Amino acid sequence: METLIEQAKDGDRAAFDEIVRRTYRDVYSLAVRLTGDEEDASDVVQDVYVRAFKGISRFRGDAAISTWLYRICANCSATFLGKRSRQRHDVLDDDAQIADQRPEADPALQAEASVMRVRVERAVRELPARLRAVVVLRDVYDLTHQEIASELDITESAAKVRLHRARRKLQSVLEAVTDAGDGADDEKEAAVDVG
Amino acid sequence: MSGETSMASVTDLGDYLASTRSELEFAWLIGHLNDLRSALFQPPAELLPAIFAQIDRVDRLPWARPGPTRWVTYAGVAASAGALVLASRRRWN
Repeated sequence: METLIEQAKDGDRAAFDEIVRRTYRDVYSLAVRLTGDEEDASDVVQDVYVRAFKGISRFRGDAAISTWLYRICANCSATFLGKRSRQRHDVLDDDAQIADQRPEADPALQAEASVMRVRVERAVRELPARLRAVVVLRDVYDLTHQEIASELDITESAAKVRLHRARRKLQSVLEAVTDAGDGADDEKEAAVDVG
Repeated sequence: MSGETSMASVTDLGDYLASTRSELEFAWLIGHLNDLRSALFQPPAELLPAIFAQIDRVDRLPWARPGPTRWVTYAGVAASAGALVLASRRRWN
């Protein structure tokens, strides 16, 4: 990957395309989690790579390229959601389909871990966008508070407060779901495609 | 209004102080959230061509390209501008 990055920084388009091929699924997954919508995520991912293409020569290599792309994705998603909320006055799209609900889900791959993963994924999706962004970037993608604050244009302490609120909310939702115990069959069906 | 503000600040402060405590109380949750990273969503088939089409669009603009091309373009534009300024000065002098 290091060689590809150096080639891309020197203007090698084929090298940059290869970086896109190797990373776009990961970036798309983050975009789905941040926007809560697959179509919006596709738009965001296109923006991410256009910005990455323009800025690759400034990539210093202090962090992994995936982290650099996550940061661009966080910034693009925040911009996208900001524009959308101004246009529609609604931040969350409740009709959003998550990938785990596709019919091609294979029941053979059902497992307890997958069930839990779907529960967590759903609980994350139900969070308000501002809380969701912070918990996804910190606890799923391992960005620092400083990086999150910088990309979301908030203070570091605001990032910490949002993270705490998000975790508290998620914990209570998941405890309630786990206590209820049922509905596992639906979740097992839904679990597969995410895995 | 000021009452609401101060209440909000108190709540924020409480959450901030709580957020600085050990992450142990959320260890179970954080473990499950970490697991999500390896669970990739399947992108639509048209996404990759769409990304490349967007990059193609930018790639056609020489000043937006990464690498030395951009600096050669900047240098070319600067040289042209300089030549233009010199030419116009000579003309007016």
